Amino acid sequence: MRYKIFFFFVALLCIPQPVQAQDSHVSIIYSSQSNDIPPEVYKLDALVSRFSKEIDIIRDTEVVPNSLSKTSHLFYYGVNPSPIPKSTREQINQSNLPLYGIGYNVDQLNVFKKIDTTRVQGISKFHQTRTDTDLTFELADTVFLVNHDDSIVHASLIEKNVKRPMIIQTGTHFYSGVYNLLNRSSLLVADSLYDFFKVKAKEEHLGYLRLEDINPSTDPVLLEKVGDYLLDRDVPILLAVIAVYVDPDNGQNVHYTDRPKLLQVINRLEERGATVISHGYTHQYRSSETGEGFEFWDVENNQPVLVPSNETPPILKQQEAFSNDRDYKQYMETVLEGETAYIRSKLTRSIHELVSLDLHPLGFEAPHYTMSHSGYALASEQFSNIFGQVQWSNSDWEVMGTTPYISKPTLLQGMTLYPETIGYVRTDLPRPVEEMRRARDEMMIVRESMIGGFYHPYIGTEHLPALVDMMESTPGFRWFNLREQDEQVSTVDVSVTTVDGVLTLRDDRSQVINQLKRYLPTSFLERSLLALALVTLVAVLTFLIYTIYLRTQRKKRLFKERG
Amino acid sequence: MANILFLFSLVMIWVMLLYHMFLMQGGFWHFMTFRNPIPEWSKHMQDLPKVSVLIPAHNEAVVVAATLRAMSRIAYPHDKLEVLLINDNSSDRTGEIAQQFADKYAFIHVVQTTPAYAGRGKSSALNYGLTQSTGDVIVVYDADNTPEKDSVYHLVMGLLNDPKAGAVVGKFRVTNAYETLLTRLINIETICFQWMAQAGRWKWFNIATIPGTNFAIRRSIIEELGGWDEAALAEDTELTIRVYELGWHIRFFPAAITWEQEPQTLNVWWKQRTRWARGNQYVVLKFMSQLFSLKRKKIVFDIIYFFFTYFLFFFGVILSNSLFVLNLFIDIGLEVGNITLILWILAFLLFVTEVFVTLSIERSEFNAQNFFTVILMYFTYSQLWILLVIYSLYLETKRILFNQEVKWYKTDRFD
Repeated sequence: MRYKIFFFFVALLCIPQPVQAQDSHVSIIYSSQSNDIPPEVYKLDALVSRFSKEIDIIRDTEVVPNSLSKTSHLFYYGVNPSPIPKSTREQINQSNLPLYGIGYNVDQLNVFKKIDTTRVQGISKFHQTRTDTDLTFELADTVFLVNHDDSIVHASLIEKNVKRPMIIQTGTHFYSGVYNLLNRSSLLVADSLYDFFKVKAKEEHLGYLRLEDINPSTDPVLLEKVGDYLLDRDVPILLAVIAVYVDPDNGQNVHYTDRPKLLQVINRLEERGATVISHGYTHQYRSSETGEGFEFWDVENNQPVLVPSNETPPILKQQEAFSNDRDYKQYMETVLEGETAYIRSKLTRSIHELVSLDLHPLGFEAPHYTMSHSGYALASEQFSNIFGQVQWSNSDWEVMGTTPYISKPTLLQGMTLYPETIGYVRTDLPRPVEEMRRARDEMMIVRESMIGGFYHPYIGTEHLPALVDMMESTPGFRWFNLREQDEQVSTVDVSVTTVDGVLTLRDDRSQVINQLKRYLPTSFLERSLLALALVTLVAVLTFLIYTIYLRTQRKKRLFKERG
Repeated sequence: MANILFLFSLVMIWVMLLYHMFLMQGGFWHFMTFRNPIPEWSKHMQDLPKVSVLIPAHNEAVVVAATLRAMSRIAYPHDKLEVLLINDNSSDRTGEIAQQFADKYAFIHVVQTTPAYAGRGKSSALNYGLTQSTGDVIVVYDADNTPEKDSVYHLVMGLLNDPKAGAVVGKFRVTNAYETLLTRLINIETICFQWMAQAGRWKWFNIATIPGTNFAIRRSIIEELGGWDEAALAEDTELTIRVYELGWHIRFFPAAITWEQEPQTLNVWWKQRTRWARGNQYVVLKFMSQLFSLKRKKIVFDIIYFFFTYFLFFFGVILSNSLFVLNLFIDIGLEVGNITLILWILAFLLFVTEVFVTLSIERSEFNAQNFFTVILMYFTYSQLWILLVIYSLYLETKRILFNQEVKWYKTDRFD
């Protein structure tokens, strides 16, 4: 009997399953000199995450016989020029899967044997076939042009006014000559993925506007004006709220409870439909100012935050300093314990503080978009989404970027990325909204791209009419409302969720303790001192009672002593 | 760095404050209970031992008459009492005045220190007195003391009823408490010392320190110890430790009361206190080196307490003050703010209320005048202690470096 059941299951496994885009299983094989997954590969993963929930990232040297057994779509990304190991090459060649090749080394694969690539530098002009758009990006790029006769050209580079193929398709296979996916030209790759996965895009561009860096030092009048203007225009704004302002002059913490007028404004804006997202607890580390400082990345040492603000962090050792992998891993685990404690505490406190203020944080935005990869993992335990951009590199905060559309990068461990794609109103520029329009126009070459931007309320309403007009003029534009998504923000004691567009709060913290905690010092030292003060106070009161008691007994004692 | 130093000073200071808070509680408790066993104990006062009262006197002409007058009134069977006034190298009328009392009262004797003992300080005089005495119980009074008439009786009562007590110490009060501001401050200080340090330690740990006067010790013990240590400036602290090392304890029994004179001028006070501070530093250093070879652990604890008082607490205060002053001029990056101000205020209130409790115990001492004196005391008299420790440390260092001999300074008396 047992055997029969076993055979039945084996038989089930053998039935071929039809492959759809959303059920697709992607394998990304990459060649790189780096031991860690390079930032470019994380970026590719992020772009692909729009189309597939299952993505395996495999280094070319680590492909094993069964690596591709579940794969429906295969990517090969040659980040650096290098020979692809023979067994990997053979597996790719034999797989017969739709293959998307990017960058170097593709001529080693059978599918691309016939194409001839040439690396060209200083390219800033491109052409997209689908929209018949010429594009000029600000920074010049180095790309591969492709010589191949019988292929469909999705995008070309323009050199001396001559179009040369750059992203091509032959059958189900694609090749992209854009190989640095961290550059702006990766937008062309992003769009081509719709064709590679054969996914029909919605004729729609979602957009959002975030009021940035709201903190206890924010001017309530300006915030109110800006917020009301946008809500009056039915813009479902996001409020990126920082829980605590740290005064850089004296290190004092300012809370919203110290700024009742401001708190009232934020509460009212939320009531009117604005959605609060947590923008960190203090948006600073060490002695930097709130809004200026980095909170989840030690920018001075360009490494994760390893110790609390008042301690001197150790400089993270490189893997080369270790004789073997195991020692390095062990070392990293130990040093990252500090980061874990730090980030957990700050994220939890930010949520608790906001909820205590009767606000309902529904998302997260990392200060300056910086965070280590382990930090993202921790954030994903508490937030179902993240706004802005992603720090692709785990060792350099400046290697950051975003996807043009909503995605779920592997790096973010399940968090949905709502990308900021058009920047913000920069008052140092003569025509800031025009700059944003340019960025928006570039985004239009990517189907379903998100038009996400932010605005500092301290500017006032001056640029808002033009900005909203510009955004709303986008073809197929619709405002994105976070409350309409299934989102969740939680700690052990607190959770904020959306059910059918309604914010739901669960708060298991005791209200009394909750109120007290607000006034309780946070550091161990200060708490100890407070405990000491309380003990002393009890003693002082006791001794006062003794004194009063002895004084009332004075006459009695007098008689006793005489008697 | 500043934060670590600050934390260090904070711990040093507050360990002491918390400890005294604890002692105060014990002291109050002892006050409420020490009289309870007296009725029962009185029943055992049948077969009384012979008592020798030793009074070392070096140029005490000013006070000796009053002292011996008080001795003449001691309520203890005269056939079991001898009062020995040890005239040590006096160049004034001490011997003459004392002799008048000896002529009048059979149990009062004047003995003259022989050259081997003469002029070498209190310990030496006491050792000589010991050789001349015959009592089973030795009671010591300073030459300026006027004990209440039943104080000797109470000291003996403590010894008879507590077989583990090697010595019993009583309480002393100040005769000239309201003479000058200084004596008023000293009066408050002595009351605090007795009800906090003496009564508190006795109640919690069965430890009390022999205060140099108004105490009784079994002859067998002092003989076993070979008398008083003549090298010690604080012979009483030193003796205390040795008594505990023999396995006895010292009972604090405040029913035995003596009155003594305190310095009326700052100059005299300064010299007296310098001697005490140096003496205690000597004792601490002497026993710190053999700390872990001491048999009685609770006395180890007490020595650590002394070490705290004269070194760590003192250092903590100096450090804390320096950081405070430094912080006024430059930003040294201290990270604790308002809470330290609250702690400072609480420390002050703690001081004030502790003193209030002890003053209230002495029925008449908690009065309006003393109320304000206590507040003033925190900012003046208490701070003098810092200078005193610095000065005595300087003297002790100098003594050790240049191998100087200790000179026993006898406190000047006042008419």
